[in-house]
Amino acid sequence: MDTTRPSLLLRIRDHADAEAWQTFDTIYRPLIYRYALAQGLADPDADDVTQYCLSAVAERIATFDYDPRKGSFKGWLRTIATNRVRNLWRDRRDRPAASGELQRPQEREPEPDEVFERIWQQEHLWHCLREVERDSDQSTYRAFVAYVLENETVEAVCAKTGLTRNNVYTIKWRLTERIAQRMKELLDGTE
Amino acid sequence: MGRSETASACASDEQLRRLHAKELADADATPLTQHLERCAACRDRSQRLLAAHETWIARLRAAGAPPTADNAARHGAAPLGDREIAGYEIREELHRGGQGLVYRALQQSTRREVAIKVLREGPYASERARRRFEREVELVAQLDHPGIVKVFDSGQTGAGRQFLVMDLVRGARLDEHLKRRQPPLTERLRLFALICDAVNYAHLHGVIHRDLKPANVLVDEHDRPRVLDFGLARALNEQDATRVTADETITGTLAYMAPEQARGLGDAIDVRTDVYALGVMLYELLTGGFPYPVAGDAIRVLRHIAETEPDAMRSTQPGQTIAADLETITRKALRKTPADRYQTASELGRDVERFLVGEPIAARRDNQLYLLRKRLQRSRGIIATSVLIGTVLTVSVALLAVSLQRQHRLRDEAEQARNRAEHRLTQVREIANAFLIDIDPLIRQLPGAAPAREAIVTKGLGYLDALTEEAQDSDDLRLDLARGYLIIGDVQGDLNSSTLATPEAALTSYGRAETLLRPLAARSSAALDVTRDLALCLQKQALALNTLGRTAERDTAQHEALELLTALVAAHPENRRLLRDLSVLYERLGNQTGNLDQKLEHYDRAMALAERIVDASSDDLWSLRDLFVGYTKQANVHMGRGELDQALENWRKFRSFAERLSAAYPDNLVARRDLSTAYQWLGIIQSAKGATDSAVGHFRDAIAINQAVLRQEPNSARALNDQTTVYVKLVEALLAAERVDEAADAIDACIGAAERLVAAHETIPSYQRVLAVAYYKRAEWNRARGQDEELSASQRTNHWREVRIALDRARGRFEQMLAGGTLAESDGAVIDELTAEIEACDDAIAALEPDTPSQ
Repeated sequence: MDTTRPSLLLRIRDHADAEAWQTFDTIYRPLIYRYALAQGLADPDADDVTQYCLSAVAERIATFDYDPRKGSFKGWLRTIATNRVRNLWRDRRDRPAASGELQRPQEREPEPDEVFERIWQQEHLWHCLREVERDSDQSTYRAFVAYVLENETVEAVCAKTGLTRNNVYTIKWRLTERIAQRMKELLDGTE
Repeated sequence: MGRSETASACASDEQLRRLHAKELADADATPLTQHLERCAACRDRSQRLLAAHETWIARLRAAGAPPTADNAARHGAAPLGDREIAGYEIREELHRGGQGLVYRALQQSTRREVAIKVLREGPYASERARRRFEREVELVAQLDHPGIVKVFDSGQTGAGRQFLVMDLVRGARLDEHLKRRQPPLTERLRLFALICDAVNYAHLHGVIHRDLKPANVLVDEHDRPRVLDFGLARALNEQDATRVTADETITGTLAYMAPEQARGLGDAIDVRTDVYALGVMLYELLTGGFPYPVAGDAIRVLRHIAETEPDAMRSTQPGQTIAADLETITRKALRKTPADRYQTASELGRDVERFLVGEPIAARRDNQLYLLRKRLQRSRGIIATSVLIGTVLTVSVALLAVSLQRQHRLRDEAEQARNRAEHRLTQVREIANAFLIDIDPLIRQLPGAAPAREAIVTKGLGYLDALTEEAQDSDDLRLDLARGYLIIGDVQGDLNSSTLATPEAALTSYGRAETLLRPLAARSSAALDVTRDLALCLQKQALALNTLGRTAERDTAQHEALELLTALVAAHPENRRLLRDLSVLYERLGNQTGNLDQKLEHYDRAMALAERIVDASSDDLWSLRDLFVGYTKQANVHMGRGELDQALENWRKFRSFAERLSAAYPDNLVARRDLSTAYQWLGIIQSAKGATDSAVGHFRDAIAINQAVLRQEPNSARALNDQTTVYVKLVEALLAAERVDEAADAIDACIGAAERLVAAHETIPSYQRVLAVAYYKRAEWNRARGQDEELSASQRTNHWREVRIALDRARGRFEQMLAGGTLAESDGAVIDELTAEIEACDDAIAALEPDTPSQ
């Protein structure tokens, strides 16, 4: 297993790196989309926001200044998304309200930091989990999901998968290690 | 021999990983384990690896499995479609846990956002299980407490899974909150006491939680804890709360289990089981760890729970110790036998509250010496933590002291007089007792607890009133009482710190003080202090009258205060206190008059007096402040005359001083407000000079400072008022520079602050005006947009509609002031002007919509 891949953020500066862009898209498209939904947008608008943000990243990533003092990629992305959502709301107010669906859910919601934070973590972890699923055999991944993610007892997992207790412990440790390593690559320089 | 040598060699990281991953054969694992027992360095590394691993496991559990269709089918945890729960639109999956999934959803009937928990368990094995669930949910749904996440609906999804609908709480789990925010001890204890309160409420309604743990407490955006999942453990399965799995880790339920649960004594579970769990939480809050080892082999953990006394408590902060009282409280909650614990969650919470205010805890109430020591500490502690309570306590303690002195003096006088003095003493003691004993339980909810303040004011007043009857023949007592009323009045009139404050109530107290002071001051032999007190009393009344817009009465009171103080200063020209009183009075007079020449005259006098004080003590920043405040007053007169550069110069001087003051007193509200005011005015002047960028920068600085203050004092009238004003100025500057887009957020924030201000202090007319102005700025902003030729006609029309709404709101506020008789004379024409603007607005809308017939 190669453990020294350059960070995703670095790789997507090269627009020709199709694999990096594919990874980027699989993580960030649902991430922004869910965030937009969480801000109260309906489906087509959330799509619009997602598309807008991904294009903005593609356009500007080459010149994105990797300087933690100037703010992180994560903060930058959130700002783009938040502003886009806000602009949509503003345009909404400029159009006549047709029905209740155009209501703003709450006049002043709390800063969406926590929502973004949760979705951000979740989408990155899910991406890693899907990679692990792809790279492991079925019973290994099933055991990991049941034992680690769903808190089932080790006996139940053994019964379900035919693995031994030690197998299950090994899977828990090793897959977690792999996910932690992959998370580092994905998140390096973004936070 | 070879083997034992290997065993003592230090392990590599990879070896340790393999050990944790259970990849080593026994022959390799055993010597390594033995080595770890002996070698602290390796053990440390091993534990660090394990801790990092546990962190990732916790993150993964929080994220749950990725929602693929495949995965969903296998694990019966499919993300729900919109239609699966009638009446609700599922918006987002929030959390996956052992019990099920939590979604954010919209309740269609009310358009409000809710949280829906869909339980993994069910459909039910038996009819009995289903009935039990429903009965428990019914009980839980009756719980209505600010510390409990309200459950208000339940039912079955299309797939037959049970769901509960509850309040959507925006916030973090308690454990995450503590980790992220690292709140200080008092804050952690405050949260804990509130949790106890919520748990106790549920107990009183017949619901035992059975699964209390930090993960079941959310801390909302107002930093209030909300307990989740009451009774769910029981509702799901009778055995659930006592079920033990072989490898439950510290993230599980096991760690918080009570001995009776650990022993599987289902029948022995009662409210004291929750008390025990609270005890474990308290232990964890204080030490960051658990009372006994809770990781690893479940059977051993259970034995620890049942038998091991809690480890000695060590603070998470190195070098800090845990107060003996806290350890006593925690240990009492963690007694193995339920009968030895606190018998209710409320008793536990109350003891923590007692600790917070430095009162003796119940767990040790019997020790007399101990009581005495705590009582002394308590007076000091309260005075230190709360100026408000401090002043009131000082009054009562001072009264007590005075009476004791008097009692000694009178001892030699006639028997009759002594009896009367003793009678008085009893009553004074009652005051002291009322504050110390009756009020204490309420005080604990400070800061920001209106009921406590209300109680203090009412109680204090009641006792002072009772004493006034007795005070007819004693000058000393009358003076003490008058000062008591002045302090109570200050508490009532302190709009900065209390939402219950009303200037009217303050006026009444000041009035009583005046009644007591006047006969004393009228005597030819009146002491300087008595006359000064009367002058101050009048000045305080003037201030309250000014707030209420009663200007004629204000002027009368002020005039008399001025006469009294001027005479006093003439008689005591070196007395700095008097010089300062008079300087402050002139400054207020300057503030109040609209005539620029008079203003400058008053300010010059205030400055001249301030300079006399500074001569005496130039290194005291607070004395210097009076002088620098003088500069700002002069600056404002310059502003009024259009002399911008001179005004700028004066405000820059003040800013430099305010920066010095803030640096010396970083937490002082006055110092921070000075700095914010300085930035605000620098912004106003720069804006008037056309230097918009510079102005915007200054306004942003002021906003940041105000926000910091508001985070500590969310309802502070001053800070909200300041904040609204700065935003108004910012909007004006941006609109003047035609930077309309940028002003959008500022106008939202402006209205927000103004609405909060009026909501918190609705009887103050000047705040009504602030809100009206904020609405008017909203209208101006939308008008700028409405005039933007680049927008479409329909967009512009909508902006004009917004203009109309905002103007209407502004006019409504002014009309309200007119009806209440508080509309200032200078605002007399405003309503007509607004009406004219609304008509102009209608014309603009009509012009943009030529095809729409007017109605």
